[in-house]
Amino acid sequence: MTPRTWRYPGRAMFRDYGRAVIGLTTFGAPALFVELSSVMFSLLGGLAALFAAYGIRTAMRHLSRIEVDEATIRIAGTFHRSVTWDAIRDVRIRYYSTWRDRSAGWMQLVIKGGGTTIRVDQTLDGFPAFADIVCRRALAHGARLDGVSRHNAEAIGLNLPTEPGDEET
Amino acid sequence: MFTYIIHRLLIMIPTLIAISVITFVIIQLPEGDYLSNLVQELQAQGEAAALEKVEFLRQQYGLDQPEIIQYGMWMGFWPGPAGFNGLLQGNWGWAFEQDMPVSDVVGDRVLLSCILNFTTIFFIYLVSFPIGVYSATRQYSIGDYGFTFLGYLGLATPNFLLALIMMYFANLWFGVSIGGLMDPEYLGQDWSWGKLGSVLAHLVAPVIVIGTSGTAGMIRRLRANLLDELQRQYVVTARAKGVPRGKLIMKYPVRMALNPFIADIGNLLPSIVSGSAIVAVVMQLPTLGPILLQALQSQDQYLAGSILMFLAGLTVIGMLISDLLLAALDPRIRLGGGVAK
Repeated sequence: MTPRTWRYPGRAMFRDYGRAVIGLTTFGAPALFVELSSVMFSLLGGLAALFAAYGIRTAMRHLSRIEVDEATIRIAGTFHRSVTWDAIRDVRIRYYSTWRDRSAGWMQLVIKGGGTTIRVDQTLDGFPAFADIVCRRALAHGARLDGVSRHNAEAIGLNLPTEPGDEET
Repeated sequence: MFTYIIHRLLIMIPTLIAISVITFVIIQLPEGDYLSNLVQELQAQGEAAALEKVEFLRQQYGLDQPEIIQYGMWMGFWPGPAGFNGLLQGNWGWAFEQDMPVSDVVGDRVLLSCILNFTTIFFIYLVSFPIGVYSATRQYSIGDYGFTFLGYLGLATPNFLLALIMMYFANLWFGVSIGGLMDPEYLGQDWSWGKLGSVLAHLVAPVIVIGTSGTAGMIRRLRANLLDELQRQYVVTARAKGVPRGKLIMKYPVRMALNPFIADIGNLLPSIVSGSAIVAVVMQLPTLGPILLQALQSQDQYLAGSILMFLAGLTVIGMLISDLLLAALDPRIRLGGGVAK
């Protein structure tokens, strides 16, 4: 297999930075600059910390790249992680939407195995191709893909092979 | 899920701001305010000293300012005479009628309202889940007809009427009053194990009264969802392959039928909160309902506005919990819906 590399595109990352900044400003600014009761300080401070963590995670994603080769899938960057294909036990494709009719959402690919969890969002450039490679290779190495993931995979145009015992999920 | 939580929290910001604007506008809609009415009364009685205090309160809370500034001061976005000191800073304002801070007026009632509302939701789910599953899996049995009848009765009976009926028969048959949320000796006392036990014992009646209609609705909804699922082909196939009945029902159809059941937490909370206000008046429960009613009648804007904002916050949190549970339970795309690129 030819080694391949994927990155998160700048435009998607800037949207995420925007979200982090809005959250930090809305919750962090009052916590820092206005005299608050202890309850409100804890509440707003906690929410601001959550958005700060989101901003840090976005920056880490922005600086990282995802590499796939014959033996492993790895996230290269500040906090690198890797998992070998034969160590993968579970692959999931999850769909999230904040709309009541569940439109305009996004997918997330979760790869678990060897004590590591790798999460990749749909904003990744070439996500369907990446998900296709990961799912196929993980299935070939005996990993499990549940019914929900198969349903979501179909929705992004993946035609995955069936696996023995799939109906058990 | 982390990204999802962040997206949901960001949606909550404009939602809460919109609710606060609507709440403030509705409270301001009637002519005059509490202090104007009080001034008229005091002028009629010729009490000049009290008039000075009213004028002080009017300036302190910006009631002589344009409404947009009043809103800003109430929320804590705009500085008043005491600087930024509104809801955002944890200051609920002044209850004019009781002549004390709103936080002192509501006191324990906030906690008791939360306990009552969340216990009611727990009761609704605890009771409706087994009954809904039973009714669907034994459709048209005597048990199903019985629960259906009780369900319709629960849906059709107003909560306050049920409260009156329960209070009447509890008094007639057992000679006890089931009003209130604790024994009289614990009123105004600090929290203790005895007080907690008394509150839990007194919760039974109001929880049943407030939760009956919600339980009935949930049973109907779960039954209908589960019946739909049970008729699907995968269930027939699994049954034909000899999958044990209990495993077959609980592992697939019940899981699928739970989605609307969980999504309803968000709708359940507002109806419970609004329903419990009237029941609280009838059953003399020391929750926020009776105070809210009194504050609206007397146009006590800070008291009413702060309670409404608290209840709205409770509802928004309920919606958040419902959405998070739903995202965890059913992370499937709905085919036909869009996927962001």
